[in-house]
Amino acid sequence: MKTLRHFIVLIFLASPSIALEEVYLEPNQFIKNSFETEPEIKTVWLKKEIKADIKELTGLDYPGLRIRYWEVGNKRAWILEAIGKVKLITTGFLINDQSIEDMRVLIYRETHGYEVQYPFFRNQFKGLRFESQKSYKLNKKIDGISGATLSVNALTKLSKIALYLDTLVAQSEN
Amino acid sequence: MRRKLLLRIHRWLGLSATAFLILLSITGILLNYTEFLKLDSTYVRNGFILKLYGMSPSNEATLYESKASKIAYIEESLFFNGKFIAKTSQPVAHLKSENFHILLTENEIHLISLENELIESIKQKSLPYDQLTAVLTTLSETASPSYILISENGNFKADPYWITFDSYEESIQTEAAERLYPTKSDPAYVQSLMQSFQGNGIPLYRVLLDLHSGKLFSVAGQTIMNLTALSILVLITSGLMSWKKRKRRICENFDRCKENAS
Repeated sequence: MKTLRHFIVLIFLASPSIALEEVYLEPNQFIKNSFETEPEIKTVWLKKEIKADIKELTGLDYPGLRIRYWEVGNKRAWILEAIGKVKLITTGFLINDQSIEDMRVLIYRETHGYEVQYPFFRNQFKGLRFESQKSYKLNKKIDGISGATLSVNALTKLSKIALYLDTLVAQSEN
Repeated sequence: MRRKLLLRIHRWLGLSATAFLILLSITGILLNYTEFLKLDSTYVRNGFILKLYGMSPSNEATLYESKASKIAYIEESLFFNGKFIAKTSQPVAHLKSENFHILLTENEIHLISLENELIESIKQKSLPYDQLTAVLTTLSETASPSYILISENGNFKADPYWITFDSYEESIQTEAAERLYPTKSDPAYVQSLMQSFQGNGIPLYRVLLDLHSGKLFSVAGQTIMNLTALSILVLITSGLMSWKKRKRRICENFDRCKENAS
């Protein structure tokens, strides 16, 4: 009985707001791993109409007016952030010819929903692209994970933003 | 299992779980009447609750005035001319180029438009240093000055658009050190900033839901609620077992009584 009482007291003493910041992969390392040669760092400006498109596409008011990306040929890496439930999830997308080649959760700060980092979930993003550039509809559905719905939604939205921005950049470069 | 031990487990587990079971029941009932009780349109602005959601109100604010701009740093939140910029570290310097403001904190850089809109936050992981110690302006004959970022990891110079940072090996002939110095406190200004940042507060529905699931208190809260749920199962089992044992004992005594009578 004494042990049970001690255990309960211990749980109470544990900090009520445990701040977790799990770095699964350093953003710099993600960029390094993504390209065989040194990529060029470029930026895309989020003009009013682009911000409006992102809002329509995902419902997110993406913060900031400038997003950087790393480019070698048609391959671009994007590091984007969105709030899962209350904290930001930093995510890296590697896009080749407007199709996602790799998606990695780089920094995860939420207390739950961390399952989104595992390959069984991440692999769904491979080959993800817009069905057509007019509709901006994804070519496949991303299956959720119970208990991580908000994180899954955030990552799906970020994948749409990454694909949208990549399409814009590709169009402006052609 | 001996009945005495069963009863002890039942009693102590019951006593330990009582408060949480009451909490689960009350929050559960309230959540079932969300619309009737208008839980989703009632907001909580309690300091403790706001702190749990990372929206802590505080009187501990540091204010700076620099290049006709007002900068405030309140419990890890950085504000520029009344606008929330980011949750970040202590600001070190404020620079102004022709096209934007540059706010340098100990481990992040925030580029802000002349209309006070955030352009980009360059996070620590994208910077070549861990902690910025100073920003120096170099002697320059050209119109635009160049800035050297001083850190323990070395000195760095940003390109004019603040996209890349190159190592700066040359000896530095400084003109001036850029540094933010706190000005006197202004509680009314701090209060107005926090109000605009926090909005109405947190919907009561959200607080009750997180209280019900234990998520309000992070992992510890969830663990307690899980244990409370498990305790219900253990209480039911131990209750039933001790009742069965008691019943059997009464029956045995009753039979013995009957035998004695005959």
